[in-house]
Amino acid sequence: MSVLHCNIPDFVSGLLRRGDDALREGALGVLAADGTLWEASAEARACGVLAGMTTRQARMRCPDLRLREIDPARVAAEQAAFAGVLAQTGLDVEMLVEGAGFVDLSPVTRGIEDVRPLCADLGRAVRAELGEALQPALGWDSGKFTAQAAALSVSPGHMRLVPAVEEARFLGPLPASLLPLPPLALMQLRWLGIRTLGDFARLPVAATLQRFGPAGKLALELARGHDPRPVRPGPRAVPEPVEVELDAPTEQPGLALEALLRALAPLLAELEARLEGVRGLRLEGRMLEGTRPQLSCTFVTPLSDAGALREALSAALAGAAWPGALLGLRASALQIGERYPVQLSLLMDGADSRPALREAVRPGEALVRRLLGRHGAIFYAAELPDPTHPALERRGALRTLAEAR
Amino acid sequence: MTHAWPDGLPIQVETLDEQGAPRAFGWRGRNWTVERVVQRWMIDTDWWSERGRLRRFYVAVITREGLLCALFHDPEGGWRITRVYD
Amino acid sequence: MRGVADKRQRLQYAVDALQARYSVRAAQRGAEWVRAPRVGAISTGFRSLDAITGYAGLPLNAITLLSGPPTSGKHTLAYLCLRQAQVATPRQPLVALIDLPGAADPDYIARCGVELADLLIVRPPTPEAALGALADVLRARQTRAILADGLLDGGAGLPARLATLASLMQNSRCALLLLDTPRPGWREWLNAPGRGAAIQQAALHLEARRERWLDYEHSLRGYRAQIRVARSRRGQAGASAAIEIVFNGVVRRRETW
Repeated sequence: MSVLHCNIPDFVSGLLRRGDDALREGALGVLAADGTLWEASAEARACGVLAGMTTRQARMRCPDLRLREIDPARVAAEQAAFAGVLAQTGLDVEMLVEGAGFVDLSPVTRGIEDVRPLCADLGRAVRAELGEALQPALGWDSGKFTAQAAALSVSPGHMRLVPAVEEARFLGPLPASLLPLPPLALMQLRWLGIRTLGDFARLPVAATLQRFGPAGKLALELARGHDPRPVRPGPRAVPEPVEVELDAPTEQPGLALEALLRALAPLLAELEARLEGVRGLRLEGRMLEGTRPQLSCTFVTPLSDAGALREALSAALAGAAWPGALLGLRASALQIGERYPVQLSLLMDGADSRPALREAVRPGEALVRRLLGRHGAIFYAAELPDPTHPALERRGALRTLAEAR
Repeated sequence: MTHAWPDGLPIQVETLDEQGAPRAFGWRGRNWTVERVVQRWMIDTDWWSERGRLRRFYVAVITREGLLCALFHDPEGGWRITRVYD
Repeated sequence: MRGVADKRQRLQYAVDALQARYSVRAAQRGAEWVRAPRVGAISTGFRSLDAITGYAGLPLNAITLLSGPPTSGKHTLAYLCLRQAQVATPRQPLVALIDLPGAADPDYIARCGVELADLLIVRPPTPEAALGALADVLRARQTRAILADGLLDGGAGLPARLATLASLMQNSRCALLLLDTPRPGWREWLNAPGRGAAIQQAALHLEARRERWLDYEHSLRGYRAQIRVARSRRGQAGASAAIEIVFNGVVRRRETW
């Protein structure tokens, strides 16, 4: 396979900035309909603001944060325009979350040299369509996961192509939190001291299967650079609606939600095994008075664990405040999508994985090489390995450039 | 924060206010009198990390001489200065 | 053409009259503000400060001395200047920080907007070693701006080394910013030779002084500082510009008046 991942970081805040010069600089947060943060700009993330936070939490970390509400119609239109540009290639395109998608280049490319000009053309086309503020970062590999990691490791306007022989070397030092596993599994990896994809790739298959189930086994393949998942164009099949009836009417939506989550459990388990999740759904209440109020939810990232889904749906139901007693609850129009690593790593680490993903920089490499012999190991590069650590003194670090010799 | 010492530099603290912040401290051969405590916060983190547990009570203070700095108290290391803002 | 000249003349009279009556800040020529700094300087990022340095910023090929007590804003101003140097020359964005105190904080530097990937930090063991490394970095001509912190705490040999440095600066296409923290009381004489030499060699000497704290709803948000031109080979000494440093997550410079 030959897969290109096209990723526009901070898609929604980029859109807002494109339309409003006053928002060009400074920390910006995009609010979802339920009042939580849908997306935080790079400046906001630098202050420790993360997607999913409440306005209050975000403001505590960044008092200067400017908040704007998401305009779903506009975002959908721009996402469609983005998808349109990718589709112009005539190749199979699979869209993920906003500002991210895969293109299957297999029919038109044989090797890395064919890919480079094609990627450059595609990058230029996206920039021409969406503007300078929404430049994509491109990553290419023989599989989706590595292509995605490659795109996340470069800044917008750049590409990272990973030849098959370099896959292991490229993936090895990247954080394990990039794996599209549920947050609990990622936390377990951290407790076990498994920090990088290289650490994870070295685990035995049987042990991974035993501890993390089929999702862990698939993740192990991804970490080893073998991604069997094909690029799937077009909308996915929508699963059958799931409905629960309550024994007695209740005014506590939480009880109905628990019953619904139990009914959804087999579907969630199936999705989790494929490293997929529910991206959105429509909830319909059956009220004692005979009304059927509806509520549409879209999640920042596809969810497959019941805990995260419970939290998201509880917040949505609390905001909707349906009047009266519930007799039943129905979940329909379930949108399914692949779990997206960036958001998971956000939830996991409390930090954006992108800075950690960048390859080690060597400022003034040639100059340092020349001066090392004369002055010794006095040259350093500054890094932010943990940019939102609660102790400021553990956020940054200096890395010696002595090994540049 | 423009000068930062991750593990802090030891300072001499004689007396504390009611909420546990130093009233004055000695550093670099000089006495600094705390005029205003700007912020107090506590962290207990990294107990799982190889870098070691951080259990510190921080205060950001302004001294009479106009120095804005962050001090912390560590149960093992006592009072230390960790940042001077400039 | 004559009409244009007349118009300019009349405009200048009007500006002069306004400035004479209400102070120089009452009216200033927009063109002076928006004009990019001349090739021979790196903007400080503060138009009001650039305007009084005599160089439209920090001079290239020369030494700038920035003095001030702790919490005067000099470090923040210096980091913001490094950022300006990176932005002004995207093809050669490398800047260097000679960090003799060994206390530079990457988190704060990044918050000042400096791109860490293009920042070389040098931590020499002694001021003498720092001067040697600094000279070699200058000779390599790959950096657009160098910030040296703690260099003036050097010993008796410092004046001669600084003179060599000043000659190396010529044609280096680089701005060198020396940070100077005057010591209190009797200990000032310890680094007096170095300071004296630096003042002599510097084309521009700026002095930072914190003016007042900026509070917002009883919590500290930053401070306002005055940057005074103590000496400029091209400008007038004595002029000063106010800047505000606000540190809420991201350190922001704020133009003020």
